[in-house]
Amino acid sequence: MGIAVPGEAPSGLRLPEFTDRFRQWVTANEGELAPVLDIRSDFGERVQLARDLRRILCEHGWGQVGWPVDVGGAGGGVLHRGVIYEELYRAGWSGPTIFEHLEIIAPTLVRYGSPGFVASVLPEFLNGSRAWAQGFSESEAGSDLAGLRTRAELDGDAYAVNGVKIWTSWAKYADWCLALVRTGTAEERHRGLTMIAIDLDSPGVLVRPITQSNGTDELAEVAFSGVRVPRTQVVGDVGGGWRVAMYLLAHERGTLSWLKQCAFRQRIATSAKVMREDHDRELGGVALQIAGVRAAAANLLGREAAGHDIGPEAAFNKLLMTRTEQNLFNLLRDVDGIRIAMPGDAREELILQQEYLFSRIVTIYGGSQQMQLITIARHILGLDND
Amino acid sequence: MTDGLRPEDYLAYRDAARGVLTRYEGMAAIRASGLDEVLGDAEPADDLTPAYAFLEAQGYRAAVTPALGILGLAASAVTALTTPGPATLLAFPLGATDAVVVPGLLDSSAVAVDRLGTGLITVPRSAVTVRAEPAPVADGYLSVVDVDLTAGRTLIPEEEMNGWRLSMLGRTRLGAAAEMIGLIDRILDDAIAYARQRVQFGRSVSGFQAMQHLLAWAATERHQAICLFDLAVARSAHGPAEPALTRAVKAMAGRVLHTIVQAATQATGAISFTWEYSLNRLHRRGLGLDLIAGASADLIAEMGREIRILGSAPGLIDLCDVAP
Repeated sequence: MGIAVPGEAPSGLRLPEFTDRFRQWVTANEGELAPVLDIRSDFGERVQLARDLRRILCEHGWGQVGWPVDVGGAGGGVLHRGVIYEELYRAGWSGPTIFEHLEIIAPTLVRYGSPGFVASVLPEFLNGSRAWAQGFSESEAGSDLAGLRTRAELDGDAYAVNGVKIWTSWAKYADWCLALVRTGTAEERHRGLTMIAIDLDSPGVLVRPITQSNGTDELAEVAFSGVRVPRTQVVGDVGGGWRVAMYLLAHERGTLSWLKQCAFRQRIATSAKVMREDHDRELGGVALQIAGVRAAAANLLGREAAGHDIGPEAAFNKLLMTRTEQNLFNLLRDVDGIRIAMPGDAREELILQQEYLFSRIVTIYGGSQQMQLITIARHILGLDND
Repeated sequence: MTDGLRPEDYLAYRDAARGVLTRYEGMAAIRASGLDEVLGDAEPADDLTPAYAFLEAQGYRAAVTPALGILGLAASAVTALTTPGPATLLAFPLGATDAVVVPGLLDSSAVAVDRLGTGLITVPRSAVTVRAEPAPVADGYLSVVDVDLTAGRTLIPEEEMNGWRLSMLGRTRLGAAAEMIGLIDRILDDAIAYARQRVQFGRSVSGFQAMQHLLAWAATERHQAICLFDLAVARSAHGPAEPALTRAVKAMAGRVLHTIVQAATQATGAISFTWEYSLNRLHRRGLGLDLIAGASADLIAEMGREIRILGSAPGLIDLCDVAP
């Protein structure tokens, strides 16, 4: 896999050598990285640090690794990105916040967007200067996404978008929204959908942040009132939005799980100091679940790297990842409940509470646990429709 | 079920072994599959993938061969597969008891016992007394035996055991996990097949959402065990099996087996109460395999203890393992 490693000509580094090289860079640049890897209890501050990290990574050439050269990347693929995430977590990173979408939206843009459009937006996504939100759910279309109603009507060279999206992750901080809209009839259901990239600075866009149960404003309601979107910003085919959505969701459920297990491992390591001997069995149980998430994520990333499409099996990853996250925080609650229920001013305690409360809803977002189970039952086990 | 997500070469070995095990049993199956060449003491193979695949097939078929006991002794110059005479089988301790368990015990095979402080001791079959299995007897695969060590001789003295003992443990853990994964597959396949044909309230019970959720969770549990196992086997083909990884694989296989059994029991309803139903023999075999080379409960506690003391959780595998 040939990539342009910073300071060198395209080298075709194998993954072990790439890992060593990036780890050495992280160590050598510890001074510059430490402030942006650090954690903050204020979500807005965390978002800014995430932007700063993306900027630094791109300034040094690492941020473009894992993306195609013809759209502003430096070559390589998902495994290189996975290595970068793991090494950053090893160095104490607190997580990507809004740039989690680099593993959800960016692959979708690369796969289905027109090369010219993707080349115009991806570099800014990679360097942190512009962020993306994902506009899928509506108040009447959650699990039943095919019933969504936000409409896009073609008017000359642009679509006029009208409707309201809700539970839109990161919209408060985003510059773009990858939205699933209806271009066909309601009766066509999933066949009448189109994926479209909407500039959130466009006239007619209104973003209303939603305060989440853990106190952060990660989610928002996004209203579109006659928002004009150039045809060139359709991602995939008109009427082919469902296929694009399934591809995106496979990444949200599948490839994201590698990043998440890095966070779980970090959390379980830092929590070891509050554990006692009588917690060993539970702690081992959670560690074993994390190992399962990691192995399943590696399996999926390896298959993606080998050119396979990710299908319904991503539901396995989603179920394992979210079940494990809940069990991890259940253990922390049982062992360290006071700091979760009544955090003091220390940022670590505030974040612990935020993460615990967030863990309660991880089995809902990105496709509920119930939907993942149905997906497996019908599309993998071949069981009949109810 | 999800064979498309597994390594093709491994599946080829496994499927070939499944075919062999429909026609042969015991040592005949081992020879028909070529496993004697893989595990033989002439030139012990580093890559034991075919052995693990054979054991997975053995679990799926609920076949009886001494492969697991022979695998444990691989590379010890003890197996005697390529020389005339009965194979020597490794016996596995049962916790703190004196008894040991021998998978696929043959009428004529000698038994090797690892005694900490003494070394590897082999005893003739005449010095091995099989304990009666309480009725109903599962399948006679796992024989609990008492061994008269006074009739034995030391094959490998304690001072030479260290490196070999660790590698024996790793191979055994992967082998037992392989067999448990075969059991898991079989139990789940049978449960799904049963649910499809069972009709209640005028339709197949497999169409009810509650049943679909139950079986889908079971399939998810299975998936994580297989992913971890496949990565461990692939690694072991290039060098000694790493202790932390094989421990996790063995623990995972045992934990998932217990979960799958419960799910399959729930899915099949009252038929699962009936001894003759396939689940029960497979369950009994799995219970025994879980105890070999470390029960899952103990291994999990050990993992937790290490994390608590060291303040870190090992990755076990990494992305280099899946790079094309």
